[in-house]
Amino acid sequence: MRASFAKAAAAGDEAPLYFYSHLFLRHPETRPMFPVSMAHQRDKLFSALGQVVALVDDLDALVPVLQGLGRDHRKFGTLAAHYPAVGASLLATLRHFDDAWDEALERDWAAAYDLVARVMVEAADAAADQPAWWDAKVVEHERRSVDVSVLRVQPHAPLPVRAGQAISVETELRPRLWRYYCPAGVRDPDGALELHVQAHAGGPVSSALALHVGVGDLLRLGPAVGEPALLPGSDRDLLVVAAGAGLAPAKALVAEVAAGPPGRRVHLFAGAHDDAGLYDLPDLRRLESEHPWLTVTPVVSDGGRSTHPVGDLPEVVLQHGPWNARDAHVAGDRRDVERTVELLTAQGLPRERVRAQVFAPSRSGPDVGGKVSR
Amino acid sequence: MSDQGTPRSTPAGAAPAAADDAARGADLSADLSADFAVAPLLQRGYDRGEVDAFLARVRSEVGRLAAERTALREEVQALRRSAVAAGGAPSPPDPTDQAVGILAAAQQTADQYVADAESFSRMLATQAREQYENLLQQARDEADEIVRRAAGRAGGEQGAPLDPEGVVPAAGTAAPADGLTPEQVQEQVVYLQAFGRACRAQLRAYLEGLLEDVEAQWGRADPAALPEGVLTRRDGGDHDGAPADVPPPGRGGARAADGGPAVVDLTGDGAVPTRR
Repeated sequence: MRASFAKAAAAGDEAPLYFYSHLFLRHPETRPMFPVSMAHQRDKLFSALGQVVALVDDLDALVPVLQGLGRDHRKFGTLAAHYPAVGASLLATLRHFDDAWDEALERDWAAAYDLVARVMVEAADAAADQPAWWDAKVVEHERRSVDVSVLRVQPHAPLPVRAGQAISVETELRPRLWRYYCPAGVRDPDGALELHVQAHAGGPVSSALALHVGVGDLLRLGPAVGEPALLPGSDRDLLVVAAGAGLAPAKALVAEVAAGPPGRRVHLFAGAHDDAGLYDLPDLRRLESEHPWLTVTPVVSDGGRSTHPVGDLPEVVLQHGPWNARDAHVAGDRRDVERTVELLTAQGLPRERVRAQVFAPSRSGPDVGGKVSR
Repeated sequence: MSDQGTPRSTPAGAAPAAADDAARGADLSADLSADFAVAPLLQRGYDRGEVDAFLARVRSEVGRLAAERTALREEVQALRRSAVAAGGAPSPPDPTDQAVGILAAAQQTADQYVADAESFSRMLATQAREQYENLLQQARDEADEIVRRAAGRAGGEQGAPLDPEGVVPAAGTAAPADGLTPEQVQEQVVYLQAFGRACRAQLRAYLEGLLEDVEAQWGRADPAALPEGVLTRRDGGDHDGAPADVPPPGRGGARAADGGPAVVDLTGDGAVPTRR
């Protein structure tokens, strides 16, 4: 089975291209479930399949992956009825690209796929107590800089999400393109979520959310994914380092600490290129004045005219140390996150007490890119 | 025996028409165990043995049919389930490789167009951003330069011919220039702004005076050609324009009485524009 998958995988883009064309011709009703451009979808399909095939001998690892996939596919409108259709097209694709295809192989693949589909369907059914997706109305949309907007969205039902977790977002302006965003907290008592969106040049979803979406528009949100930022069972003080877009989970973390048991101090470093990049500083100052345990230090790297501390974020954080007695949460672009983690651990902070979250423009990383397809 | 006929043929007359179908078979079997009242002596009727035998036959027959119906119903449901699982319809035929190829090519073309559009928009957005940042930087540099020059002149000679209005130095951003502290620069800027306002007010007064001269001369030559109200406005209408907090210096002097040639000194050598 591995050999026949390798043959299909070796065909590169041809194999998923064949698969989707076969699926859409055989079941035209599935086409509207996918975006216009299928280029990235094809990558996702085979990376997901590759993951499954790689783990096929390790059921303990495979089953949670499949369950996650099954749950995640609910938001796409996937029904149990779609799985056999996909299975048939998958088999047809493997058959097409394998000269040595025979009855026995077909039976093995069909059995394996049935198992995969069953695990996914069962996981999806088990999650049926929560909505497959949340319709959320944009209630505030503030453009904070030339390319950053802060949105407040009101889901139709409470959407449970913890600091550090991400939710996937789809807008009607870019149908079927889902992107992950870490909300900057949930507002009490209405449960509105705050989203920070930076428009990336050429990014279809980010630019639509940051620049084109308006108050009253509807978004679709998927369930929360990922690990919560707060280490379970820890009551240590916190060091929170947020570079650029990492500010959203940092704010959520502050809110979560505020809602938790008192006595935890938080020092939040918000890094940006220049003053304009500190797009949420007034709100951070407000939080700082409300919470005596919170210290906010903005840091700009290009401080030509800035009144804030100037310097390289990781270095500035280190200078304010030592931080060895704290838990650390570091979020932002790859360079700043990796450098900060490196410096903190070199200083003696145990690595397991450092949570790192890298944010990258869509498609180049797992954090913000669309999720794998079935 | 039809479905409808079955309940009617039962002597007990039980007709659970609305009951759940699956349960109906069992009800029927139970109802069929009903006994007849024994006919009174001497009354004529069917042979009781025959009736009992017939009823036994009916009972077993109805029971069999009910069981059969339940089995069939289950089978239909199972088939329906598997039909739904198979995509709601009998498995559609596999598309030909040719059809797959055509759709694949169409999809690739669409993908290419989307990718092109995205990369074009990326290019435009990147360029626009660069331009925006350049312009912003340029404006900042210019503002810095103006503040620096103003600070320099204010430090050197009082009364530089500069109107610093519009240059609003951000708090604390003025770098110490020419050995001045930011506070001193700030003071200079405030002074220069006031000075600029004064200059402007003075210039306005002077020009108004000039206009009045012209009109006066014109009026003397041809009173009928004067617009209505000009002569009266000359007395009451000269308060507008000058900021209330800065009294226009030299206003009276600027008002021309003789209508002679006027020169405004804007070179900055004089502290106030004067008429020569």
